[in-house]
Amino acid sequence: MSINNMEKPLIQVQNLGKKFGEMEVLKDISVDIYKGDVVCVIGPSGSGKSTFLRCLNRLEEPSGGHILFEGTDIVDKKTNIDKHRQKMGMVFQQFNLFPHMTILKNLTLGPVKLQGKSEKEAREQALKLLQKVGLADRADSYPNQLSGGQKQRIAIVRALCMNPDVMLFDEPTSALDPEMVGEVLTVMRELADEKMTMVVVTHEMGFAREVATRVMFMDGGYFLEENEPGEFFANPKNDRLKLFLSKVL
Amino acid sequence: MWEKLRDDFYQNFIVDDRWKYITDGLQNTLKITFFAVLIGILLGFLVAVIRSTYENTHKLKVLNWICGVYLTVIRGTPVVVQLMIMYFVIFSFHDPGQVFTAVVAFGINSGAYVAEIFRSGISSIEKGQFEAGRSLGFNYAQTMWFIIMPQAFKNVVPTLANEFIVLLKETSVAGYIGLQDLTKGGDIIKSRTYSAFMPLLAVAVIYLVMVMLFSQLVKVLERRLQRSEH
Amino acid sequence: MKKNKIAIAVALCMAAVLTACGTPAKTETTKAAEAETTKAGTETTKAEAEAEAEAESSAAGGKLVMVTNAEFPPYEYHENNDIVGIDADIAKAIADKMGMELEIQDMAFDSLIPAVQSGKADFTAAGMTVNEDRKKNVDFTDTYAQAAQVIIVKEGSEIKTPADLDGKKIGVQTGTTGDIYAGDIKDAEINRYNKGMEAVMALTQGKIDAVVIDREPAKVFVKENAGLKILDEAFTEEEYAIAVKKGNTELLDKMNAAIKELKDSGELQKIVDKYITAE
Repeated sequence: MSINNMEKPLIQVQNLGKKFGEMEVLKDISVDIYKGDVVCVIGPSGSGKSTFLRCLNRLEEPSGGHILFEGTDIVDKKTNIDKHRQKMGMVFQQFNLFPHMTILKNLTLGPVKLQGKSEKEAREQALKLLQKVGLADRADSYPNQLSGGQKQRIAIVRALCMNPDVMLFDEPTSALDPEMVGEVLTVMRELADEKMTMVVVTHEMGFAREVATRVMFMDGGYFLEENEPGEFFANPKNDRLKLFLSKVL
Repeated sequence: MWEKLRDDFYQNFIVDDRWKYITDGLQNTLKITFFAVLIGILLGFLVAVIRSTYENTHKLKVLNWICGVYLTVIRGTPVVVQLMIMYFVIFSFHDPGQVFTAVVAFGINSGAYVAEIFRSGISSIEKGQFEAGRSLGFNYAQTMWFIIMPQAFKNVVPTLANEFIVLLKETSVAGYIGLQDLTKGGDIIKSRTYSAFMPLLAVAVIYLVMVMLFSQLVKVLERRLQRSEH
Repeated sequence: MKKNKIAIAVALCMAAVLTACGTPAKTETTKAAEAETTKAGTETTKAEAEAEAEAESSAAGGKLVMVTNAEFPPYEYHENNDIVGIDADIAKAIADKMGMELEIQDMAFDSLIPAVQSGKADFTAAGMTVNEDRKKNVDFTDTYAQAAQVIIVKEGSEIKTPADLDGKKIGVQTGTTGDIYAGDIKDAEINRYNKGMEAVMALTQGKIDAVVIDREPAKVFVKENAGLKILDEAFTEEEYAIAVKKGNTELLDKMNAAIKELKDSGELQKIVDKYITAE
């Protein structure tokens, strides 16, 4: 987090709103995310935190406001969102690996088809990243042959293969059996150590406390409180946050 | 009894080279089925993509409407009526040949059913697959092509094969436009020899064998496709 | 590979089973039908011996089932939900003479003889020409009408005589005399339609060059479709008769007697005149 980067946010969310029909899920949200930030978003279910995350790469179409990503307003219909998504890796709760392809193919499809890399180049990069998450031996397996934890680690690698500038995590450990949560969090922790910019929607308070640079509490479509993790968990100010923390901790 | 059978066989297939009615008819049946299947797949694929695109994005409204009319009309009328309309009405002033007419009629008919099969195949793929593709930066068409279609196709192979078996058997009404297909070949022999047993049995056995061979082929294909998931 | 072999074996087995089942069943049906006929015959003889003509009609007063292909005006066609025409009227007259009730069923022309053979129908009157092939399978009554196969062409067609049909596309109705004889035309492509009308329609649309069909229906078709004509020279001349199940001389004799009566009384001519106005 150099001073330089602090001045120019990677993602600027301005007055973001999202409605599903009559229901207003996000209400006038503004937040800046800087390079190297690890932002953990917590909050009760239905608070709008997943919707917020999915708006960041426009998997959900915002109803109003602006999102400037590296200076470009991606809410603008004229923006080629596909180009920008390549720079925003996304990891889903349900992994969403492509079941009809080998792991290697899952990892190289994007770089080869979208970034014009050669098969060889893409494979070398994929294998290097697989090595890092300890799954190099599964390159030729199919997703259904893997455990949930392995699948999620692969899903993270798939996003990383595109060399993104930010990684979005949508409750990455919620669908996992408890004994597999650790291996995924370890990979995420390593990413954070490498100064990857991350936005993580999660229920893992331990992870938020240890890894996050900023923790944000969302409820009812608003960010109600934001702080660095130590203060956030030790001295919550908002009443609803206090109530929430008393339930989950 | 065997003598009677042998005599029947001789009368129905050997005299005047009557077996040729069957083989000529079989050729036409195969020709019609093969090309109708091709048209059916192309047309069905196109319609399914248009319909799914409309469902997902609400784009292509007009095309989707046209496809809806096409599906309603084709699936709401008997194929034999469509065939005769094609021959006696649509091609009433120009004759592209009966086999061609039949190929077009059966192809268009099959396309409607294939479209619905493909569409159900596409909608059976989890939304997450689509989102995963889009989140990597693939556009709508690329996501469909690289991620959704291969999975959808695998899911619908059995239903699709069944549709083609139905189509093969449905071509037996091609005789309505004066075309000599397998069934008509049997009919002609029957009209010459006045024995229904032998020609109809021969025709039935040939259809049956074709269907069984095809089913076998599909099983092999299915097994090969399944292998990639285990 | 192994599976394929099994598939073929199964197919062969099924074929064998079908063949095996089919044949005895057929034989049985034949036997049963014969037995019935014999029984009916005995009963009738008994009735004849015991009673006058009137009594006989009530004794025999069953149903006589006729099959025809009612797409063949003026011999048989549908009108106001009834099947009418020369054949239908003659059959009705014959049934009346035999004191039986007539039921007419409509089916494809090429199914008529199998229907009679299998005993599903007692006889067929369908503008059917007597020929050797058919004689092998059914017994014909005395002929009751003169007929001809004629050639319909578009006006201005280069086909002027039957000899011009060589190498042409010819439409016929499957299984009719025209179909059978057209097969002898050199290099001709025969298109077989289920109905005479469809062949004529294909002709008006230029899909075929000529239609070979019986004269009387041909006249009707030409009258209804402008731009068509019948060639002066007929393709063949022939005679129509009623067909009954082979060996059913009982029925055949009765029908022949009735036909003779109808001819002698002039009733038959009256029926023909009713449908065919003199040229």
